[in-house]
Amino acid sequence: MSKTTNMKTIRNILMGTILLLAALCPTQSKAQVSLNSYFNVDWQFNIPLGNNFSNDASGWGMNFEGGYYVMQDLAVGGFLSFHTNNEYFPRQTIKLSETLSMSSRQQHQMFTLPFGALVRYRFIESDFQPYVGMKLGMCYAEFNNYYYIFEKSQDRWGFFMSPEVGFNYYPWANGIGFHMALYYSFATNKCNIMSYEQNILNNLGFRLGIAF
Amino acid sequence: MKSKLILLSLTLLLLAACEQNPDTDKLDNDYLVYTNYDKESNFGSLNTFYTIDSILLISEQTIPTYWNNASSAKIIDQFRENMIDCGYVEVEFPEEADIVLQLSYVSSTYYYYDYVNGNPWWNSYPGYWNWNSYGWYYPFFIPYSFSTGSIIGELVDMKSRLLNTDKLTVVWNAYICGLLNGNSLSMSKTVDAINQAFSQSEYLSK
Repeated sequence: MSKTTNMKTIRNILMGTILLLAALCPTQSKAQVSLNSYFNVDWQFNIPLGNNFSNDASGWGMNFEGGYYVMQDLAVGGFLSFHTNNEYFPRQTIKLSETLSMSSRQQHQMFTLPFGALVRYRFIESDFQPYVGMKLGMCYAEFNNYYYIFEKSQDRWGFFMSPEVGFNYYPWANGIGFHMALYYSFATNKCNIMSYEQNILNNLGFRLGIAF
Repeated sequence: MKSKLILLSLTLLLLAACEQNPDTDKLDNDYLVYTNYDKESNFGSLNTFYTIDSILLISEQTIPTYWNNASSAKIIDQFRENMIDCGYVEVEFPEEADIVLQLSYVSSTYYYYDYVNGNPWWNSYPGYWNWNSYGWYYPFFIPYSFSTGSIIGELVDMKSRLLNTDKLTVVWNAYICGLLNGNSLSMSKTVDAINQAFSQSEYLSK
């Protein structure tokens, strides 16, 4: 995905969020499943930023998280998410060493699975609960390069950090609601497959899911 | 009702967001070309070449078998044309040539099991190219394995025996695979792949 397309996608995400936030005005508070805790299960759309190995955005991911409000508006908890970003490379010639060259089509796959602890601060305790949050943890990443009938793979671990903004919205009295979030994530996983090198994973994305 | 809704949502989300396996159909339908060369060789000093009129078949046979028909002639011609385009002059006899182009076609990997003393297995394959009983060697490492339906093109430096009395140097190697359509060789892919081998070996050009 080109930088221009990335910027358009980001702008669309921001516009959509603003419109949605405007539409979802807080109404009379209805209880979630537990007033002291929350859970989110989300579909996730991830946009790699400047990734040499696999730079195509995709919606192949999920996020699971939960937290407990240790103070009225401050929750701590845990999370686990996973995502796959694939990128197809039409035929290109790459240098594998000083003298060795290879020409082939390639399919790159990057699978990431971060998990760890989170902290979340909600601004109001009502049906509509906008919040800011921070996730810290480890990230397992798998990098696969498929070419012809062959495959080269690497798996790597790294440190993970991800700030996010979003909201939980509980329109009904049964405690089931909606969740939406925008996030940026940073991970220190390194990849070095054939002539492709990536030292840091930067991503932007959004999550849509259920809250309870 | 609440638990059913949660279960349904979770199921739908899990179905929608499983790890996506990439589509590899576009990959194995197309060819792959490796090229390697001897960085110590001075290609500028190699001017003439000789091409053998047959392609060695690497198969399950224990006696040398050669492929010599219209298809093999087309493959040989494609290599020859690329050599001429690179600026080399073709000669009639191998004794007159600075380099010899030898071609092999892997019709079976029956004999392939491993490297022998750091060299690919056909160093000891019956009938593999042998020039006046001189052996030959690769001055570079070959990291790939070989598959059925592959073509191997090699340029052997015939002058290198003056420096090394028992072995000739393979100064360039091209390994081309993914040429089969079903069980038969695709000539259009083969021609494209041979051209690709030369276009990614710009150091051959004079």
